[in-house]
Amino acid sequence: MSTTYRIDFHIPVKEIEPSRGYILEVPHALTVEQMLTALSERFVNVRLLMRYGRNGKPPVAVLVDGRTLALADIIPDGAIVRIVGAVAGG
Amino acid sequence: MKGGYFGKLLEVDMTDHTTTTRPIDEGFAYRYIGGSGFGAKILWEETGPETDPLAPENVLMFLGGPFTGTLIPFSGRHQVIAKSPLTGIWGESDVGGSWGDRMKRAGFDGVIVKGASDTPMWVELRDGEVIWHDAQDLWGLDTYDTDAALRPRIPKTATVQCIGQAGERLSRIAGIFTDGRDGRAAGRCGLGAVMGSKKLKAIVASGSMKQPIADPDGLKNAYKPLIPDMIERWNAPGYHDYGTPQVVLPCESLGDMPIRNWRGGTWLEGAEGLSGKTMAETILTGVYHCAHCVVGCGRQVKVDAGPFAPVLGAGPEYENLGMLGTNLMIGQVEAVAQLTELCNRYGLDSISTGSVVGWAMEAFERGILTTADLDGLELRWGDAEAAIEMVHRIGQRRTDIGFLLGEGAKRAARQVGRNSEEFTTEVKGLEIPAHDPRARFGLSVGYATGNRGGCHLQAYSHDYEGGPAWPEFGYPEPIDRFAVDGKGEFTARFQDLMSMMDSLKLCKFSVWCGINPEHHVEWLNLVTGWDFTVDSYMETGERLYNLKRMYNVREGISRKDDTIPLRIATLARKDGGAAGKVPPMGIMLHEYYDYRGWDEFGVPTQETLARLGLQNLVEPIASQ
Repeated sequence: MSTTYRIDFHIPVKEIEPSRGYILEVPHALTVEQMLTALSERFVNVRLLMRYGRNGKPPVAVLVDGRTLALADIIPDGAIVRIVGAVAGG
Repeated sequence: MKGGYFGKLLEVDMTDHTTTTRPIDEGFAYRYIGGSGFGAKILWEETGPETDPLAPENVLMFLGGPFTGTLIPFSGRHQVIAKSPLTGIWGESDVGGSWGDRMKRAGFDGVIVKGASDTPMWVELRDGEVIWHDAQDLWGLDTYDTDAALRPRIPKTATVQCIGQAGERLSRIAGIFTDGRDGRAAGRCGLGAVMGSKKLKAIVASGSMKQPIADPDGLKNAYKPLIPDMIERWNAPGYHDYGTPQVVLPCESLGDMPIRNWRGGTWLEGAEGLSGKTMAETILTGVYHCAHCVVGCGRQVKVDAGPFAPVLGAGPEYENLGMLGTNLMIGQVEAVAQLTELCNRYGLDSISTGSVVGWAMEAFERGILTTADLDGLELRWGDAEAAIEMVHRIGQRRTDIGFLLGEGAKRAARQVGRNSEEFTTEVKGLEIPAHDPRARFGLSVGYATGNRGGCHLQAYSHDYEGGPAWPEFGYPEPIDRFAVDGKGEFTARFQDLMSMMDSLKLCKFSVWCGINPEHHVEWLNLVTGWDFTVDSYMETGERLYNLKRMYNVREGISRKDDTIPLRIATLARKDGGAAGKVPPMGIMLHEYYDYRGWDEFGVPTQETLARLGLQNLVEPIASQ
């Protein structure tokens, strides 16, 4: 049994067209931190963002159903996961 | 002076159409820096409790800082300052674009406008010269059309700063706009009405003068190597592609966005319709950079079909999307783009406008305002057409309700009565922006003690509540957004820092690009030849913040006014990312006063003023 997430990037991702999204398949459900690590292995810009992280938290918000998850939260199977760059409030 | 200043402010007397120059000596510059700091000292001296903000006695200032006119990234800004007709206290607004840069190129560190003309005028600054022009043909034009009308008459490199119909007709929520269709705004505090009261339609600047820099090579070597990193830090999270609208979804998720006049806790559908990505995929045509900006947060949009066409030029920023979008339950980005363009054209502050329309929508819902009161309009939540019509009326000051809403929420609610004051959302008369203190408790102290009233930019600390850490500014760990302890000191320190950035004239978004106080100090010393340290820099920020507070104290401001809107203080929302939360203001405010060295009434003590070298301010207050 694998776990599938649909990633909706709200950050620039050169490897794919962001509006098309990305399907991430992994052996088991991931925490937010694990997901960001997995995505940083696949996407240059996520890796870059991890570098700019403070206390291990990159400048992104990870949202599921409109809610921001904490780094330790486990993301449920089948979730649509929004990765939104978020540092400034405007 | 070795650098940073031409050493002169231009004084423009609108009454007799004359100008003089006021010299700046190095002692004054060192003590008050520029921009907000210069303005604080001059406004203290030139106005007082007897000054009617819309009378000729008020002074309207356009002030650069030592960074304005240099090539330092993020330095294309200037500060507009006057006694505010909206709040009756200290009024200031920080604006980007290119006008500040052009004013410096014209050879001036700032412009002080006094008196009032009998007839509309526009004033041109060009390479040290001042040229007066009749503006009767421009009076009545909106800001975009004013810019377009002036283009054939001015140098190609000139920048136009002007008011629209709202400022001409003395709306207390009118702003001052620059850069034509790029719509950069000194929106807050009703300063457009001050310009209108002086019958100054536009002030145009151009030139080729270069202000001296003490160590130009050292300066270049200091900032230039940092530029690639600045750009990367901005672009990687998507701010180039999506701009400030990028934070719509995260802010909605935190319970930080205004929804249904600050009653709702969540509206995901609306936020999705207004997100940065939605805008990029629908109406975005380009990105706008202020002068010497290396990142470009501004949105350029086009709507050329559908019910909300036409729109062309400046697009909605986060604040527009919050105040004119979710606050009014309008979730179509094209509609908010149209509302934004109307605010820009009429010359209205989009934050205050969204706030008063939201208040009116709730008053209509409650039956306090009827269709008859609204001259036939049914002002319902989510009705973009009705909101658009109302903004037309406010901008044109047309119909009783349009005129009334143009007076700002506090005055409107006082006139309407029937407990409608309970759901205005202003502090000291200034409508609060699209960030909710129930989602970030420190914001409540920032709003309560902001010298210009309810404002997130006077402290600009909210993003660090629940956001990233800032070890370079003493915060190695992220700050818990619902924590109470420490928020007083946290807010005060950020206010001191922002007071300096508003005086140097450095964009606040630079903090997200790796620029820290150490950089500010290094650059300031290289520009001026001075010897600031981070400690003396922060103490200067504290002095300036206290000077502005003392201006307000002289106007009668005290702890009684250091509040947050009743709705925010008392209504715990049922859902969303800040459900059940209200900020415990009293505890945090007490800590804030303690840290500041203010007494229990919110007045800086004599010891505090003496420590900051402001003891000379005590006597004028005591004598009143």
